[in-house]
Amino acid sequence: MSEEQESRLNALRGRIEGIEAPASNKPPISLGVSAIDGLLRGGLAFGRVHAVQGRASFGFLTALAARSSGPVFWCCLADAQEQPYMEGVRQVGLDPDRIILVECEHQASLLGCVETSLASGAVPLVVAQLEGRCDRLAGRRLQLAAERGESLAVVAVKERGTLAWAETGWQAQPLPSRSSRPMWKLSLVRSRRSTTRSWNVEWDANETGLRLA
Amino acid sequence: MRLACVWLERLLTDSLVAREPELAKETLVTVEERQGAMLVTGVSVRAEAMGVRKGTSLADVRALAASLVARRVDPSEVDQMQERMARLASRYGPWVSQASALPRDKLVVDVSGCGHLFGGEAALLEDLLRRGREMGVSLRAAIADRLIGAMALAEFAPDDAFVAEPGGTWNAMQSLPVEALGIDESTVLAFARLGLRRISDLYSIPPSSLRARFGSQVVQAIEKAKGLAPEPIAMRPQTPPPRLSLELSDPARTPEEVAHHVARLMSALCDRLANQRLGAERMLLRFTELRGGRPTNRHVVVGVASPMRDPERWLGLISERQAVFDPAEGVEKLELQALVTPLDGEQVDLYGRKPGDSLSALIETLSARLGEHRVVRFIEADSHLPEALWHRKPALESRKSGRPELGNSHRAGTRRPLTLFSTPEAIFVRTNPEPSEFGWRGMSKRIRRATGPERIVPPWWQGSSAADRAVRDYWRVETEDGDRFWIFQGHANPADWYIQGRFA
Repeated sequence: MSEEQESRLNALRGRIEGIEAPASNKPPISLGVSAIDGLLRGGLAFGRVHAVQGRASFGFLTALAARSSGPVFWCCLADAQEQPYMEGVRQVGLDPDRIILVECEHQASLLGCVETSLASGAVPLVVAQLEGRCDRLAGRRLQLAAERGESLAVVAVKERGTLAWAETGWQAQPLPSRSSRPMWKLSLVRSRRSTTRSWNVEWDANETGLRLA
Repeated sequence: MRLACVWLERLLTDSLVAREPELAKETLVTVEERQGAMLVTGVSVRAEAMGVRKGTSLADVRALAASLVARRVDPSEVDQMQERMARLASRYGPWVSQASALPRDKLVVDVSGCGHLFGGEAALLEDLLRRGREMGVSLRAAIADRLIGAMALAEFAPDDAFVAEPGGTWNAMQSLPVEALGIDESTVLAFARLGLRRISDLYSIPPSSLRARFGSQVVQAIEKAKGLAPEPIAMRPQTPPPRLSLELSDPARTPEEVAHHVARLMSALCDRLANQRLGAERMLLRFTELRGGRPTNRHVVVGVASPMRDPERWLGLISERQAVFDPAEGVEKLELQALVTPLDGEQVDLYGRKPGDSLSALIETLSARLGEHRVVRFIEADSHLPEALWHRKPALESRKSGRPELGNSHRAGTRRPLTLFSTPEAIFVRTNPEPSEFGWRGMSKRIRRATGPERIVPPWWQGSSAADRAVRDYWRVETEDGDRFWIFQGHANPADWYIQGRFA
């Protein structure tokens, strides 16, 4: 891409952004890695829905929750094999007192609860663990609810599928670690406002921070 | 038997403030005319801070504090305050003492076997004190085996919430002043002249000489406290929870019809609650409907975090349940029942709700939709089993009552997984001698790194079943793909390996 094309593209992006109402004035949840935060203009934006796939999704959800503040509504299926373990999440800096776990029988009810929570504006962060995938329509509904409540949702999806409904879509896969700290390959596979990239990151739970490996 | 006594420390002034909230800002005392003089009978916190004491004459007190506001007591307001506190106390046990059975500033509730419902007797008292104080009442409380002990400790114990151990009432009373025995003033003065100030001071005196010098009341009080004499007490009759029912001669056959009838019933019940200055914490709606030509029962229960009596909001919560108004082949009867709690006007808005709390509203909505046990917070427990270290509590049940002090023996700094499997899954492990490979769900995973073992041993006094008593050796393992798991080996049979959790 020539420089001229690049600048024209950027100008167009800017115009589109101007047309779209700002989702929220709340400062975004930063990931604590300047390379990523810089690309996303500060981090994950409020008033938006974000998605993550991959075997390290659970760690990604926890890391984000630990970096946010205020109550966290953690929505999952009642028979989900993976539910947050308070002793473990506390060790990585997520205070169990902040968590309210919402258990649903099936995915439709789970999506409904996420939507209600987002739209209420009562909780800044809603975490959702879907066992299946999320289609465009469901994703759009969540997006509208997040805008209304100026809240932020991070949705983990098990099955591969489009993440076009999400503001940002992530792929988080574990990597063999070099020390006792977990390492992931973190790929931004979809982003409405930036280019996509991937990074190798290490999670230092003592500082509740991610950093480039 | 376990009895909780509540001492309404400032019943007289508090009841005045309940009627006229502006008085809370004043240096308030209550007075009564006795033999031509005005005597102070009740003292507010502010007045007490200025040195005003009960039983002094108003004229003397005026000299102390010129800005004093003195009022006569309104007996009906005192009765109402007592009634409200009795209703509050009935949350904690089935039997509450009758108003006439005790001094008017004390009431007793039988909490035998009820403590665990609130997370222990200390938590029960804490909940009681918090709710009472939210209603604008100064109170202290104690739990003991004996009536006289509970009453004495409520008034004289060093803490405003005191729990005497079962069988330890008499011991707990030792350090209290002698007037805690409920004896008359002249006897207290006589004791004081002899230098007997604490109950333990009476120990050295044989009961026969106590009886000879001070009459039988002191000996009787001691026998009661020791559990040697009976302590009869009149309890008030129980009032059933408010309930309304509606029989439909013509069964309701559409959801709209059902919803309409429920709405009528709800507003009638909420009116009744408003008249009695009550709010509901929980509503039970029972349907009798025809299914296959037979009447069958179905019910829904919804709850809220803080009591309210807004019919619209209650209906909203009930309709969160899917197809709740679905009439099957026709609804024949509706019955609505409320679990009530005192709700005074001042701290809530027009509809009986604490205003401005969108978080509790969201918790209420989701709890109504999914059921209370599906929307939970986590509370630390004292357990050696990793899976029992945290237990769930409905988020609806208002605030937490403080964290218990826990032993740290089994929560050392070692890493715990972010997620724990609901039940450990059996796996096959090859060791060398550390785990080097494992088979799980038909996949074989090679282990790159294994950290361990960390032995988790149950304390010998805990655990009844063999499984609970088992020793486990835990390992943190990382597979070649970078997945990090928590696995353990049962000590009883070294071939038993399980996978129990996943790290980041």
